[in-house]
Amino acid sequence: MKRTLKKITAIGVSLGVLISMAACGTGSDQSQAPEPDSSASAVTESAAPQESAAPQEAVTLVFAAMDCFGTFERQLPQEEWTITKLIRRFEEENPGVTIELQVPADATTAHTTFRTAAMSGTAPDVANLWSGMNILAFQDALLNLTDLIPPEDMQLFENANACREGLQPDGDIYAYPFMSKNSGFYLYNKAIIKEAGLDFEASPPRTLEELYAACDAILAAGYTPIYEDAKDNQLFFYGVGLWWQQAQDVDKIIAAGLGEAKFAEDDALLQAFETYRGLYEKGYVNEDVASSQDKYSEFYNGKAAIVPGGTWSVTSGVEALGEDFGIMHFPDINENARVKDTAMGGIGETLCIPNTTQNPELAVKLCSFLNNRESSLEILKVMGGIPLRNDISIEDLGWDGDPIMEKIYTWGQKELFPFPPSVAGNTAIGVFNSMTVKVLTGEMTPQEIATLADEAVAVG
Amino acid sequence: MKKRTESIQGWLCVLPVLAVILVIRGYPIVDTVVKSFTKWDGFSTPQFIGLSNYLYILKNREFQVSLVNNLVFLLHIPVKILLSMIFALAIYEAVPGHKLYRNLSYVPQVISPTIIGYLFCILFGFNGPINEVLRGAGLESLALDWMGSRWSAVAVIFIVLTWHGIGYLALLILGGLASIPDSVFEAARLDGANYWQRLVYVVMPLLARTLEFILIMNITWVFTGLFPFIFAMTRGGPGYDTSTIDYVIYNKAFVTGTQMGLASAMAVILVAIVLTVTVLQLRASDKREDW
Repeated sequence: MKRTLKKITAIGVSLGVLISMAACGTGSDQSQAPEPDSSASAVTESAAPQESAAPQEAVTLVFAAMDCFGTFERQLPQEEWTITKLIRRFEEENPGVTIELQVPADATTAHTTFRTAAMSGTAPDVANLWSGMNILAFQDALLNLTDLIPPEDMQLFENANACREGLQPDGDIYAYPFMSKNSGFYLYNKAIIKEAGLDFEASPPRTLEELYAACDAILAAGYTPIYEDAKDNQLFFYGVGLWWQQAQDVDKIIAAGLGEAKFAEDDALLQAFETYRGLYEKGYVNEDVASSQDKYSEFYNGKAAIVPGGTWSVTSGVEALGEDFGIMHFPDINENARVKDTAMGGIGETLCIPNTTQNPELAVKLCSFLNNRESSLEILKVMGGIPLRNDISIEDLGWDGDPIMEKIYTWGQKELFPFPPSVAGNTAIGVFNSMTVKVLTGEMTPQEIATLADEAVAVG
Repeated sequence: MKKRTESIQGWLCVLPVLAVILVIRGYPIVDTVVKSFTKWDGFSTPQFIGLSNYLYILKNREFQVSLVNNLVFLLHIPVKILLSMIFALAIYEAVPGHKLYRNLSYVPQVISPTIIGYLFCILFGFNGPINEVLRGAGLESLALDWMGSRWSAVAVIFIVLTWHGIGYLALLILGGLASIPDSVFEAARLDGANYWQRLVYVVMPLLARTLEFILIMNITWVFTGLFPFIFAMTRGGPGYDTSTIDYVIYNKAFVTGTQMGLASAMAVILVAIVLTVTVLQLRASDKREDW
């Protein structure tokens, strides 16, 4: 009796588990199988919504939006964000289509999450990510958009190397540019600058010597000249990045990022790092740079004269400092700089589509919609930045007469150097990003950090 | 014959679960080991590079620093156990306010490690409350940039790990204390043992299995569970001074984004370390026949 009971139990348990596993398998097949068909019909029908009165099958696109909402929008309910309103408009224009908006915690998380999801085939249909090597490093996971982009959008891809394979002007396209061109520069507090006996509006420091003299004056006035957080490393990205590229060809930087040249043999990089280190050595950078996480609050509260920032910092800067808020370019590395009085910048953010999406045409349609003139105008008014489209003028944005926005718009018409991660690659930039504070504080030499980056790239 | 039939029945019973475990645990482990011998970015075809990843790790200072940090963080375990023991005994002996201690000591356990990390970063910030107090007391020289250099940052993390775990361990020790029969204490009392003698000769030996469990779980946790604290407090910095192995694996795999093969090799080494330590501990405990 006991033995029979054991047998029945064993067989019962085995069958139960096998049946439940089989049921799981069937379930997943059932849930996945019809999707391509439904999406295909949805794409076809949504392409001509007015022509077809027949109801479309429901399609849900997942859109992971990293950073396309203004600082002050974040305090509002999500339904009131500009991006949400645009999404709702897209849904209205495409009956049967629902966009599920995902909001990652921060930009780094957005990239990590996308990579992880892409590896398991569950990436969102459209993801707002950074540009250049940040995304091209996992190009194999992205949809090649070259033949999918409608002709009216091609203006977006002029000078959009950061979206193209190998960062080359004729490379295949793997991402849509998004929102605006960004640019990194210094933000300064006019009241502190004035107190130090300086006037950056009339004569901003354009050489390193002028910057050092200005910092000495600010120090003498009792303020920290430059405030930086190692967490952001913007002084590295927009300072070292600029000085490096003012003295070095981008192609050589790309080559080092790919292991075909050596960072440690790049004199321009080593010189840029030396200059960067000198700022801390001379006492111009906050003492707690290695642990600081509050550079913007120090700046907004009038304790720091200058902080590195960019187009994305302008809205909150004006809000906090009002008339006292000013912006200026980093000084040039020397008089031989390839391009003078410029900044790091260009296409900072993109919209990427994973090659696992079930709805490629619809995903492209969403990217195109978010980049059309009307959508771009609405996003730019919230986010600031330099328009990507050539049919949007400063007057269209209502920025004429605003000295800050006029300055940014004018700067945007100049040649901008690509952001370091866009050219040097994730592996090298990963090393620079984590170790650069050691160079700044003098615990590591430029040669040592460059060698570390070379070693990391070699093992890739 | 009967024994064989029973054996087959036993295997039949565990087979489905075993199959599931092999698929969801075994496959990733085997796959990770295989990928550890490749150069792989997570998407493209892995290129076999033999032992290159392992040789790089052995020479790599980032990994060495992380390993040292993990070993240093192991030292918080005895400190934590000692403090937990004091809390548990205070609660067990029902000292005045013991209910308050019991609740307060467990509070850190229910707060997210991320929040704890941020709170302590503020507390030990350069212009944070700790430094303000030190400056106020005229101890300007002790007002350090705590999170800005290696050993002070490691010390802060050490404090956080200890503070965070005391309540949980106190609860486990309290459970162990509660399982000791009153008759044992009674017998010790009749034999004339005072409080300290009862603690050392009665309580401690009977708590040995509980402490052994705590030790094994905590050692494993130090190697695999510190990620949220490191992520929230220092992101492994300055440089990689406060990185731990699990944090480095995350960084290589998902942040720099192209070193999945290298991260796999680090993960294999981490598993080997944890397994070795656990086996050594279990062997040591098996030899203690008096437990």
